[in-house]
Amino acid sequence: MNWKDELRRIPAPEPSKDLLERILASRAAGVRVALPQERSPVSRRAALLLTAAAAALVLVVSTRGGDRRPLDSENAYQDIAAGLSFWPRDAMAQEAGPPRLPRYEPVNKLRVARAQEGTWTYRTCTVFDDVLTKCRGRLTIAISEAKWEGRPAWLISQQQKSVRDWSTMDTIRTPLDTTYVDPATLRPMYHVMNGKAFHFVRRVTEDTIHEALDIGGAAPRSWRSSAGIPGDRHAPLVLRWARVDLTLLLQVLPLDRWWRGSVYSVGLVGPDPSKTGFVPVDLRVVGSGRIVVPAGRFECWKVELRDSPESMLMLWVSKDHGWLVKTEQQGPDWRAESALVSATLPAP
Amino acid sequence: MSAAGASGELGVSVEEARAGSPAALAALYREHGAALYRLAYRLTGTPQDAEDVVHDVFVGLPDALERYEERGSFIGWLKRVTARVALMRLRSVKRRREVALEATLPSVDGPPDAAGTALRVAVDALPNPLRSVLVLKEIEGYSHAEVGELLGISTGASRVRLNRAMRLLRKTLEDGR
Repeated sequence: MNWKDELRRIPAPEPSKDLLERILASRAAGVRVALPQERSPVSRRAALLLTAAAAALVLVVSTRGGDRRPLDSENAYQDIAAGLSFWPRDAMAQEAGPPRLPRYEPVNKLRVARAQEGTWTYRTCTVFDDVLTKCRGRLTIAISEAKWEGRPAWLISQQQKSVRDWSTMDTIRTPLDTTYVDPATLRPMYHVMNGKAFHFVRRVTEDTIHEALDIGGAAPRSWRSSAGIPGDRHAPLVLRWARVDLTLLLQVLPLDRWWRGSVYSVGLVGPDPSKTGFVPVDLRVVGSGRIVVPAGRFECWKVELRDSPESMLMLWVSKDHGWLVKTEQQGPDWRAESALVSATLPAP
Repeated sequence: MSAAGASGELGVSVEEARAGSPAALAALYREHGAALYRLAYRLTGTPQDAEDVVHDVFVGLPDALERYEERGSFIGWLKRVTARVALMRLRSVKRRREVALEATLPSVDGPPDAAGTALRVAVDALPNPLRSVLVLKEIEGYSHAEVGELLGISTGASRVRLNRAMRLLRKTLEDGR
């Protein structure tokens, strides 16, 4: 007998005699538990695309059963997490809990003149168990001056591509994610994501977000919905599942050693506006230091970003221009990182 | 439909369990409860957590059956669901088990087997991510691809973890000699 046989022979206790009785009593008392689902047999590529277009994924998940079920973020594709600002744990919660309140004073002082055009490219990596490192992704964020419905705006776009197979250079590209942002308040005005099988648009007025989703394919679905936005009508907002406007916001925040502030994030409205999550995002400077990334050496503020007690993203923001230089997100047994590879500014 | 075709043994109506029939649920528990409990125990490491996992699985089963697509064996599906619930519980607890070892070890009849006890202690001492892979791969017989799918890690990471678990096990057993 080898040690594997020994392993299999390790005895386990028997369940309590009254376990069945307790189960039936719980059912009779109306207790219900939403069990995790098996992943549907879609192709890995399709799953990755849907995951990357996280909003669309949520829509697909939530429209299947008509309710919101937990999605285990650890089961998603972690290297995509490095390309996202906030992994939407709260928004994917099984049941909407009591609304979380901002932890700090709302952000209301912005140095909007510091905002600048440019293109920033990041390398995204995932480290598993501190052993296995995979650096397969490139995230590109571009900011330029534009107009939206005749008004000045910042046009921000992001796209991530991830090499799935180096030998064949098989590359997966996330749908292009585009946002028009009000340059005075840094509130998004219009956000669109277009995938092969979906079209997702969000329009933001002073106090309301209007959302439209159309999913094609074999089971086409659509919805149109709206929800009121909490907080000050002129305070900046950030979009969840996209880093686009976070990059711009960091450029204009008056960071110093003791700076802290909260902004609301615009979640998915979904088919049931009563379940809409506008989760406050709490930002706090926790330190400073010099870091080296492929784009060079930067003096940075280290900024902690939390959108739930369990979910934390660490940001390194350059002191001179407010560039997002590096991000790090820790999972139970993985760590997703992104590091600035290059920054291209328009010719003066 | 009946689970008989799926499990091959019991003619319990999945349709009845899906509709919330307590008798059908009880029959499914009697058929599969012990196996699911053993799996949950090996993954969570404590009888209390294992009971909570099995409790949740069976309380949620009628609703989950509405989404059950009858691919593969019924017990295989049940085990995967149970493993997921146990792993979610492990992640949410995020603490090393600090209860007395004696309290977690199952009582077995007959004289204690020193080698078996040492192995049990060594497995129990493994960090959760490593023990999960060891249990799923070597005890439950899942492939690395299936382990990776259950844990949300790559196949390569599953292999790395198993390798690390083996090394740690050997070291613990050697140190204990």
